[in-house]
Amino acid sequence: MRYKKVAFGLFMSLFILSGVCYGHGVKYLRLKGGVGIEAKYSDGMPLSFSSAKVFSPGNPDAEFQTGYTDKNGRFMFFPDMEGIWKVEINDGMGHGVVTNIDVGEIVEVKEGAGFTLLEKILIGIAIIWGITGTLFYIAGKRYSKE
Amino acid sequence: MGRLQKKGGILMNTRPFIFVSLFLLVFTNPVLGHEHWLSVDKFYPPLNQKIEIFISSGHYFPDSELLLEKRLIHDTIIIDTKGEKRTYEIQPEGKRWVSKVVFESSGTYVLSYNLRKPPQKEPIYYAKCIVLVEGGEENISLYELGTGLEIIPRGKICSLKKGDKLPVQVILDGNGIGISVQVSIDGKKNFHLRSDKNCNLLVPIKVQGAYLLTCNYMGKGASLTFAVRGNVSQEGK
Repeated sequence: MRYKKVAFGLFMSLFILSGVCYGHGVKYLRLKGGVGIEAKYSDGMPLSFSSAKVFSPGNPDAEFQTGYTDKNGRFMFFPDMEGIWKVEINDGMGHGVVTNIDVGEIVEVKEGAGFTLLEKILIGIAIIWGITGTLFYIAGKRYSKE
Repeated sequence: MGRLQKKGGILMNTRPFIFVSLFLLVFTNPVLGHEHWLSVDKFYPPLNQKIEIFISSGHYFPDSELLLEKRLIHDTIIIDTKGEKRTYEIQPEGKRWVSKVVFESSGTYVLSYNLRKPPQKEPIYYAKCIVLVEGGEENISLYELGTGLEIIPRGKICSLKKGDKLPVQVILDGNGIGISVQVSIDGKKNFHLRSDKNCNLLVPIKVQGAYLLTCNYMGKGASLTFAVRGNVSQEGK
């Protein structure tokens, strides 16, 4: 009977504590796309590990995101609204870039940029169908004239 | 004939344009990068006097045009007359970083820092400055730090005067390299020098004042600052 109580108490405490621990758990999503910028010096060297700031069209006075470029001088961010986003890259030694990116356009291009295998096959068939159809149409017209 | 003359005329007119374009193409590239240097308010200070060290950057030595990001400045070191190292703390002041130090021995001091972009461990710029505290001997063996890209005077600086030539070598991790070095004297006289096949070059001492020597090699840069003593002000900015 005593052992049962101890086991029950242990079970309950584990149940409660695991619930507390669960609050510190982290979930993640793998993201595709995003908006990126690559900054280079005039001699082609990347602005690697340079500070980057992003300002959203909704609040151009406060940074939406800050960080550093990677070793290739690239920086990515994930906008949450369409519009003109301002990106600043600064190497901290007197060189930098300030640019505006029209996110509406870029998101459309990025999302439509890749085709699945099925889409590629369908596009291929459509092209072949179109070319042969046109050729047969021309040949048919010539035949009917003769 | 008239047509040919016209063509020749066009060519004659375009020739200066081509020359100017080529000149700009060749010479603008080295000018584009900012230089970074270390200087002091007194290159030949009296013993135990507080002096100011400046970390400056820009195109127009000795005036600093921009304040470097603190995270990039590393290894702010003073090598004293005995070759012992200590660090100096820096504070922002306008468009430069400043440190106040006291030199407690007479002789040669070498100040240095390097620029590095964390998390990269390899510096991309090495700056060095030579200070000679009055009353001591100049020790040129302290001028070679032995790491990275550095410009090393191979002769004594304190006795230099107008018309002399200072032998200088540029080394990368201990090995001499053939390279072009830019020289600026108080920002007024600017010229380039090319090292010989033995990686040595001679810096002509044209006037008294603060000398800045800079070079760039394989994505790295280096600078050396010193002053030639004289009646002209040796005070840096």
